[in-house]
Amino acid sequence: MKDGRWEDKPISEATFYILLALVEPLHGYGVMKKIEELSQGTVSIGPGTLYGTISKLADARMIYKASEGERRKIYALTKLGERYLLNLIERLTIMSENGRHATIKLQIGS
Amino acid sequence: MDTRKMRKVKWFWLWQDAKQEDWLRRMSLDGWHLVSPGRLVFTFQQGPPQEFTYRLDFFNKSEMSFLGDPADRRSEYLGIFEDSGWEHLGQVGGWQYFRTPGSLDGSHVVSTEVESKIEYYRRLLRNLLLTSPVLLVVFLPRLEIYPIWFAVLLLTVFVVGLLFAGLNGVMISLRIRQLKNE
Repeated sequence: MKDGRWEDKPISEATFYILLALVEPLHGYGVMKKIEELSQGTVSIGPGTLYGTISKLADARMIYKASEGERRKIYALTKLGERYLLNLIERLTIMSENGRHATIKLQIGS
Repeated sequence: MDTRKMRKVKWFWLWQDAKQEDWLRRMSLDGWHLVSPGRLVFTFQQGPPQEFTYRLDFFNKSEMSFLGDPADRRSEYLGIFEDSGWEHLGQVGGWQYFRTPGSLDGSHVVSTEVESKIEYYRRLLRNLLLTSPVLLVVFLPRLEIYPIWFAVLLLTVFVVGLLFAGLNGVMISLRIRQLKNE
């Protein structure tokens, strides 16, 4: 997948949380645990999805293999991945602020 | 201890992954636990009846990836499943069979797996659409060079193949739609 296409594509909650979890280098199962913790149990990613998403993110050079374990490989964000994540967080922040305004309006209205 | 084994012949269509999972679960409840899956022949071992949740997941080994060589990626893929409590039972044509004790409750929802299945079925559908016209090109123009009985036979095979592909196409499309709604 070309990097450019990632910028405009809607991102799944799973992909977002995987990137977020990889702010510190982790192995696959660690990512799963971290996501459950971060999302307070609202997002639970299955092993198949996790593996598939990690492959895609690595293909897009968003993440890389930081170390080769026997079986447990450690992944980390690349510079590209970091930039992408920061950009995404900014967009999400705007969305959530707008959401809050809407909530206030709706509450005043009712 | 009783360790009787049993082989059971059962046919499942490609779109019946969920049906297969449910069948395996019910077999375990009857005390027959899957030892090795097959395209047609499933081997079970007798044991105390127990509830297991079975999952079929598709692992595409040919997928291009920068993650390393295929054997390596496979062991990592299986490792992630094992770490999260899934036992690997075997594979059939890329479909990996996993199970975990008990029924799935909120704590290990695998609902996000749906996406990778949809992707798999889409690929299957695309391959089907691509190969059907090829059949047409290969088969039909040559019919007149064969004796009539052979031409009829070929035509029959062709029509049956086309019906088969059509059925697969429709059912896989339906399965994709169903998965999308999950």
